[in-house]
Amino acid sequence: MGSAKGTVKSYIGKPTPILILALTITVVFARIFNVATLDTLVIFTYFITIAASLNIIMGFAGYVSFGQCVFLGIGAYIYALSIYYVPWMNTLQKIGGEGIIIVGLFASSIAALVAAVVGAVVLRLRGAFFAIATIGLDFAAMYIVMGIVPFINPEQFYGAQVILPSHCLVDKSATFTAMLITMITVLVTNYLIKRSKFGMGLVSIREDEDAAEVMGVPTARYKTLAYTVSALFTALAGAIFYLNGGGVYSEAFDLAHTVDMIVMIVIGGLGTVLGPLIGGVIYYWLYDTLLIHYPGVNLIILGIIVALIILFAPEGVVGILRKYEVRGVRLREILE
Amino acid sequence: MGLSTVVISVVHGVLWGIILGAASTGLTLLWGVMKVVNVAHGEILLIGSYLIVILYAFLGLSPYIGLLASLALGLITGLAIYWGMLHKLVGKVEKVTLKIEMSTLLIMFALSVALSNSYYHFIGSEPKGLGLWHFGLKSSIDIGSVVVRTNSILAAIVAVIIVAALHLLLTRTTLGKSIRAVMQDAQAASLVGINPVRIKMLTTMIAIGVTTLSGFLIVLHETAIIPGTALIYTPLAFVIVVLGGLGNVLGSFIGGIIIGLIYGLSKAIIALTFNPLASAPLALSTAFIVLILVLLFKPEGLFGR
Repeated sequence: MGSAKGTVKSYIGKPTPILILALTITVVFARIFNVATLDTLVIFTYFITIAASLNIIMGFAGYVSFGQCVFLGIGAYIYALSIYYVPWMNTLQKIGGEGIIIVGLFASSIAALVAAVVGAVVLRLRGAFFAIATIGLDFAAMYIVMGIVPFINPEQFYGAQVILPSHCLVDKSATFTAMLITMITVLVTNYLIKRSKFGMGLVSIREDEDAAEVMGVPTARYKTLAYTVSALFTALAGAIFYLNGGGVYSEAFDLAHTVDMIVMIVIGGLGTVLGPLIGGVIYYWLYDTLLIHYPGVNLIILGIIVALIILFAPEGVVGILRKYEVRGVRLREILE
Repeated sequence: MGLSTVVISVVHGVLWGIILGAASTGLTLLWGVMKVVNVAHGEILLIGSYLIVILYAFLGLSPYIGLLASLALGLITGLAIYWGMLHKLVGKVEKVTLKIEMSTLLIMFALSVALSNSYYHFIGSEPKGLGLWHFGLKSSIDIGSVVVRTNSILAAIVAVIIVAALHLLLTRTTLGKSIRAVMQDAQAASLVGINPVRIKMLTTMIAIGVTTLSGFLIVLHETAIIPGTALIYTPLAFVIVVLGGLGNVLGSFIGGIIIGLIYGLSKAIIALTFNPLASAPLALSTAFIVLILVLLFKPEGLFGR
């Protein structure tokens, strides 16, 4: 940091941008050389995207949002219904990755709008009360969707399933491109937030909200903004992910999605930029290996691993790493 | 036709509410006294339900024995949860900060993931229940135009007994007074010779024990349970506990009845005015909207101090 702070030079040479770049290149190469299937790559990038989007509200601002999946669901449903009913949106998303992003941004900005309205009210609650309220929000939204969606088109949407007809489906390489762009954007956004005044404000809210308020941090505005940005990316990821799957089910509101996100950032390290990235890679690897070698008990093992991490290494991988020194320089200074 | 739909729906709603109220008392104790945000509440309820079902279906033991067994298993599970997970987080702490509360939330979350997937793996996702067992009585009782299953009524009676016993334990015994003392101020309690660690351990045991015991009510009311049953009981328990006020056992019992009543009423109204098929999900969503409203306008609960 020091004198070069704020200049382009200070950003280069830090591991965070380099790792984001390295990850991107690896994923692109894996795609070009067919090391991994497109489906695997979409899931991999999706995991990192949702973890990094939750990190904005849960990691930086310290608000445990259990109902993050509500935005995943809203994004996925609005996207699917838009391309189902609006022909020009369907044409637009067929252009390729950028088309999907544009239609996806439409769906996710509605989710972000919901987040802004709801957040302005619900974010007055703190700690467990906020977490519980977001669970309530998720269930309320899920049951409303389950009650309403079947009546939009009783023959097609039985049980609130929106299965996309073949003329709405896109090539998997297009969804992959869209997800990759989203992942890079959300990681860079995390990095920029962390380095900005806004990010510092969020961290001060996490450490002591009352003190932050007294010191002149516009806590209410910052929290709502963080919640909205977080919702925007979650909804975008959800829209692309369910498009890739070929249809949306009420399962999109399943708290299991929040499980994925929370587990990843807890493994990686809460409130760090590299946390969701490293956590996402580890979680994906764990998820994949456990699924292959111990099908059925994989999530049981995962639950136990998470419990052990919370008990014995609550600061996560990045939190542990930054305590160590390399050649006299504390890793903390390099990592952040 | 319209009125009788409402009456039937309300009667069923209230019976379910009584059961929900009893099933939520364990959570109000754990959250109110220990500040442990037990998001694994539904899964812990199912420990009791599954134990009773398995003892009945595979060993032929009467559900009454299963009831005692589920209480015993609950006390042991509580002991294990306290020493294995909670002691390190809240055992020695005098004032539970927000950060610690969030850690308990995450660790109970991990427990719920492990438990629910254990059910899927070891028990399976098929519905399991007590079949035709209904206390050796007729399967249903007619009250005027309303037909109610015997199991629902008797489950509600058992629920009242559980809540009454827990209330007496908390208000009339030394142990109960110590628990309430620790809830109000752990430091002051330790000054007058109460060992907070011992009380926290016992609170966890009692809370988990009552929860697994209430698993009996769930299996009676639901007729058959699946691992996914937990997904509806956990959030509803939180709604009820918030409504009744943290740590208030009678409050959550009444909160449960209120939620049952709201559910029954809104279900009937939606069925009559909109569509019967959409009534159950939309009625459940009203329960969660009530939660958010109570959190915002009366976070200390309806009966809070």
